[in-house]
Amino acid sequence: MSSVAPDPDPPRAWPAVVVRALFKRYDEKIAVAGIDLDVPRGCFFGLVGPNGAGKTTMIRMLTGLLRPDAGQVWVEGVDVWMNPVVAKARIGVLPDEFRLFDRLSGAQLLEYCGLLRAMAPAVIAERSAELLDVLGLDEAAQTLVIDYSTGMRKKIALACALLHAPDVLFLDEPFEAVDPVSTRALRNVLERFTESGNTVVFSSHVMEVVERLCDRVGVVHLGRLIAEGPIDELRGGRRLEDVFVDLVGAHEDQGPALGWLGGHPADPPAPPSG
Amino acid sequence: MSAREAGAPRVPLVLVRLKLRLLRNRARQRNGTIGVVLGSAVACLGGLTGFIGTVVAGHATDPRVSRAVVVLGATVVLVGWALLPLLSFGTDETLDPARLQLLPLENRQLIRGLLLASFIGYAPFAVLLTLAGVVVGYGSGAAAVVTLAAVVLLALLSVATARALATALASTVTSRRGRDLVFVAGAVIAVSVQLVRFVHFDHIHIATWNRVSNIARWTPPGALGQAIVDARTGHVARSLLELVPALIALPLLLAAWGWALERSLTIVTGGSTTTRAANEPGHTSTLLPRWLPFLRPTAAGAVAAKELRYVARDPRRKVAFAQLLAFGIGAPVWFAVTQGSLSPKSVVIASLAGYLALIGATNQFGFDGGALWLDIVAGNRVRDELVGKNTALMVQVLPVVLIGSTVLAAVSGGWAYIPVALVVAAAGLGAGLGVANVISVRYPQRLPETKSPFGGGGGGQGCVTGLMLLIGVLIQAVLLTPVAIAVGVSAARWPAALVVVAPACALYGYALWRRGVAMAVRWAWWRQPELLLAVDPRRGA
Repeated sequence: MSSVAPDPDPPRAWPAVVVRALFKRYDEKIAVAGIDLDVPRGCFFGLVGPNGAGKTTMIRMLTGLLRPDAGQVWVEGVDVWMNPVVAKARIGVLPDEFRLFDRLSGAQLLEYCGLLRAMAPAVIAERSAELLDVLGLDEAAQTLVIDYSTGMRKKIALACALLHAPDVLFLDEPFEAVDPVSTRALRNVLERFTESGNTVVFSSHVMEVVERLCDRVGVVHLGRLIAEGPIDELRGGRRLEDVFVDLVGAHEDQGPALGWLGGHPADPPAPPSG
Repeated sequence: MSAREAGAPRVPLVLVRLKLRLLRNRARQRNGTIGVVLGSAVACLGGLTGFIGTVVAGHATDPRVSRAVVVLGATVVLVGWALLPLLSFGTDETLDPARLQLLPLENRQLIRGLLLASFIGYAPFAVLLTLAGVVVGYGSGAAAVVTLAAVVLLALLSVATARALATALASTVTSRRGRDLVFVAGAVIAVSVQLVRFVHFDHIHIATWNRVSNIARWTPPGALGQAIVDARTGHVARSLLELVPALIALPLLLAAWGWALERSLTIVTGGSTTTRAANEPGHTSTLLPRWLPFLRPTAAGAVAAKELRYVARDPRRKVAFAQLLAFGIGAPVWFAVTQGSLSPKSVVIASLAGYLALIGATNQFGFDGGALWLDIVAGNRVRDELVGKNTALMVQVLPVVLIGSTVLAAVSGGWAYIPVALVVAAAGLGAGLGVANVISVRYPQRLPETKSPFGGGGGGQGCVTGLMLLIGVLIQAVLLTPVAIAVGVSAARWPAALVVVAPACALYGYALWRRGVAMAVRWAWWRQPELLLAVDPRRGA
């Protein structure tokens, strides 16, 4: 976490993502309070933090969707805010709570994304078919996205993010509200993606998922990066959840409150014997 | 079910209070206070008008008039009360039984509560005031008792009908396809209501109303109206008999409502899916329509294809296109039918459809809403977005102009003017879009994510939107004036000159469009995140 930008020459020496002094304020509330971060290439990076910590704001600023008040972001050595078109060609994004052009079918949505990225129609068709197949969406390819389930929506959005073969993938809560089968499909695709040397940055507040997938973790709290490093180093033999709770300083002892919760009313009559 | 704890209020009262609370909370929303004040004012005005109207009708000198008012009025009240809540689904939050599903409520309690709650609201207030007018205007002496009974029965019958119908349809209307359907149906009804204005009610003789009343009196609400009339003229026995149909219908409706309620709470209807046939071999694209070969597989082509697919699939766009069709083709047909002899030059009038299409064009990114992020992360250029959207609009407008001008040409024989109409329409659309593009990026408006069929059909909401729309229309009008004058003067004086004037107008329109796109791009090319923030209903202030 050095505060000086790395030497831009040669670009291959750059980490996948470099963030310097990133800052964003909404009216009174400071959402991101000056974050510095380096994400090495080929890394599966987990951004964890409680709700409202600034993860979503941060990811939106890293991907060119929300303009920071101050600070800089480089992806693969390209400044996201100075050179957005080049940077975006290398980025794939799956935001939190996203809307899609959901009156297109899955296949049409993929083609739409591909054409916006100036890809050749034949390449789009080939990759779309493969992505739909791997993600288990091939039967729903002609169904309108508006009629998809939450898991299917996440999967088609991930397909859109992967279609142009980006170098870095940013995912905001990709496993939120997704069933275990779809989670497995998403995970497999992401693992294959990092194995080929690409980088994934994803946010989550589900520690089990982060523990299983990530090799580096950053903990965000109140808009600051309060810890960052390889997951094993950060954990020090403990469970990530305990480390996380210690770091963000949650109070665990609830005392005698909610004592009435155990008080059941009169038991209903026994069920009929079968 | 669970026993009521001591001190807990009764369920029907709770629902009534919920309804009152929801109405009050609406005042806290953005522009809510204005809505509440406006709603109350309209309800009071409508109610008072109804009250005075029915009191006056009760004392009309022609007995046929006072009869027609109650017999037909009762029928209108019932039908209106039943249909209107369906069309404004989403504005009354106690209406959807699914929201009360998890509460341990007995069916009977629920029905009583919902029945009572249905009498709370602006429209019910206006109707109840009107019904009070009936009691004052028609009831005197012994007739007052029958009148009161009939009026109370009518109110209950209306609410029960409305609730039974709404509940039965609730599962349909909450599914995506049902909502889409209601949206389109609502818009069609809203437009058809406009047609009522063309009926000259003052020219309809009272004898006609009397004949309609003779039919309506046999329906339960009509019979209630007839009972009021008969009680007044001393036929008390007959009037009491006329209350019977409503007395039979009411418990039946309540039973049907209860049954529908039970059903809607226990049977889950899934969201329906739309599938398209797999595409034909040899055509690899599923997005770009085959029948538009000039749409190339580029970013602008993709945007245009997406927009055109949305016209067929998004209810809001569907309605906008239906309006374009109605005016663009309907007006020429109306001209052709009503005007005896048309000048061949009148064909050019069909080009006005291009002007109509501009109305929604001042907020082109509002329709994308939160989904615009897809275009932004793809690094799509504002120029491609605008060219795609503008092309899609042109593809919608020109066929309408072609059909409209062909209709006029068939009547007037002015076939030679069809190309003129097309070129002038394109010129007008180009010039207008130049302005609309700049407004679209400078003052983008958020469209509400609404389930209501009447919500957000226009450019947005609020005074600022209205003002921007007005300024846009004014600038467009100024820029289009030269086109209008040149075409109008040459059509009137030297029709042959149109061969030169029309292409000149097209050039003018093209130049203005180019200028508009350039201005819009210069403003927006690095402001795309701000554009997204401005149109995304879930973010920003």
